[in-house]
Amino acid sequence: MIRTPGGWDVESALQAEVLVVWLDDGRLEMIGPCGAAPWLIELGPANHPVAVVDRIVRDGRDVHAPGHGLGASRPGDRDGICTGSVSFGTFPRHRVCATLTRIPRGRSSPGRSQESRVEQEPRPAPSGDSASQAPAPAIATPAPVTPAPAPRPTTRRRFLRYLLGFSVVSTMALVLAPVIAFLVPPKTGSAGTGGKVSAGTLADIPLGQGKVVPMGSKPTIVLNTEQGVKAYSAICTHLGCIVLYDGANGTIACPCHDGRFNPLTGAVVSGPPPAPLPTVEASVDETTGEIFLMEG
Amino acid sequence: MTAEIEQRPAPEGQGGWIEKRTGARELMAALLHVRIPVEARTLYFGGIALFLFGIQAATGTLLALYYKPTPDAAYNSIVSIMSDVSFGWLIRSIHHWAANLMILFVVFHLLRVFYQAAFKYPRELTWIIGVGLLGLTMVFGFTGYLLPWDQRAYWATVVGTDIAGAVPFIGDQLLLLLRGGTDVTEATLSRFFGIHVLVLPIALAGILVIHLTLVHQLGLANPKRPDPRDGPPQGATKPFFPDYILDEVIAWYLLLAILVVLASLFPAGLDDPADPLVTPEGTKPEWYFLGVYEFLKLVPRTIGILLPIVGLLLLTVWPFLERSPEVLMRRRIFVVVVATAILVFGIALTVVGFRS
Repeated sequence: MIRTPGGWDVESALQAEVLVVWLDDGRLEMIGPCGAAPWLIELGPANHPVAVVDRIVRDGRDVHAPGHGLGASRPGDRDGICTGSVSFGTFPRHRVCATLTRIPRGRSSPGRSQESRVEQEPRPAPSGDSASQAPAPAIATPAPVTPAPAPRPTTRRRFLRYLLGFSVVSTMALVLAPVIAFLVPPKTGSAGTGGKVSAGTLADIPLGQGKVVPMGSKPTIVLNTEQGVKAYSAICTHLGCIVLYDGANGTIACPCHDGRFNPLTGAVVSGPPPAPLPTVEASVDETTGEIFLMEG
Repeated sequence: MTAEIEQRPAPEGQGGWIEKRTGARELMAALLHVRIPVEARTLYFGGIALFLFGIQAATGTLLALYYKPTPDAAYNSIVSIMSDVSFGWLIRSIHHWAANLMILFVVFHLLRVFYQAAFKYPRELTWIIGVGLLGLTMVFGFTGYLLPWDQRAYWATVVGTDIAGAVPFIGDQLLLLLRGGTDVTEATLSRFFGIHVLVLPIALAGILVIHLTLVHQLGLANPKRPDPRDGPPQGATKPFFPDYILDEVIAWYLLLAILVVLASLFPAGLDDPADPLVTPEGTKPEWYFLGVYEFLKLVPRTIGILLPIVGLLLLTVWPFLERSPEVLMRRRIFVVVVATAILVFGIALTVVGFRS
């Protein structure tokens, strides 16, 4: 929302002139934003001069390099459009300032016609970065500027900006740290305590047969082979399905992708599994025939 | 005739990529670059309530990851959140405190708007929707209170739904509907959980969008002079962004600190597990229902229930009852005195309820 100071009635087309105001050893100097010449912007009667110029000055913030024309034209290029002119002074950003070519123009009266106006405050409602452009001074009457020591105008601003950034980042960290810690599941405490786990007796698993039993939360396949009791992790090394003993083929088979494992070694016989089934240590109590698996 | 300005496209790396694909800058400008009367004094209550709703949405989502909504598991899942899960106590306690503060600040917001007569033309609908938001916030509190499934939660819900059951004509049906049966059981817990985490957040967020849209469209009220019926409001204005927003964000920041301090010093408690056979002594609802609860002890049941309902209805349509355009308190002294008297009475009932 632009608020016009009194007297800003634009009735016809207008030409806006944009200059950069800067201090050279205490002297007020004015040059164009991209070199010696000011920008001349043609405005239609429907355009709000302050709004249009403000937008261009904002967007042209990094247009200090030559070659980025912004519709600049010389008076007289388009006869009939320019019936008056308005001058705007703007302070460049600090960064831009350093790269500006020093071509003092020494303009003392940029307003050239009856319609010339001096805009005291050509800025609309401030936005996040608008503070980087100070309000334009009244350049029609450049008062003698008192010499000042080489100014470092953005030091405090930059410090505050860093401070703000630091505050925002540390606040985010303070909020996110508990949230992330909260998301990490707590340890369940039931997993792998180690020790012997009973897996039934030999009577449950006849010779040449196999059975999947739980060992804690991990399924284990126990086989009663002629070479004794063998046990492996029942989790297929391919995609985690639970394997079973295929008596007809004499292999441990995975029902998902038909991976086959050797019942004596756990090695892959055929199919997609990339690794053998991990062996689980098994022992048989001679007197009772109870099978024990060593967990962990 | 328009200005022929050959403008270079917005530079890449300065938000140009996103800007070209979203037009977000224009949207943000339309949302933020509005002006408010310099006399406007909102005390930031509405914004704080909004912030607390955000806190509730975030912490509530986190709690839902560990909470189990069945009578057998609910209580233990809360115990687990409080003792096993990292920062679980903090998240739950912040949820607890933000819930209470949210109701408090919604009420403050309502009182501010009432005393400043900010509900008058053209903001009548904003007020009605706002009263609806207060109602939803209270239902939020009521349904959330049951979820820990401890003694306090269980019996507060028994008493609360019982009060609803005493509403004339529709009481019995209302009771069945609320409890999902004749008693407070696992059906009630499922119901309250579903309402608390699905129905209410969506409903409140949706209505909140309408409320905020109206606030944006109509602008802030001027407590010194009414909006003219014809033409735009007069008087000096100041930018909403960044002047107002900065203060609001500072208030939010303070509130976040207050929440963490409250949650750390007074973490959310947990009673014994719910026992439908034993009513603990001194069963009370939460403080925001305590006034009505206490009122029920003083007057016959029907009156004690009907009067608050009638009061809420009057409050809802108040902009159409107080029709004078006056906004200054000294020119609507009768309304202000009566409202303050009712407010003091309600506070007194609540205090008595606390002490009994």
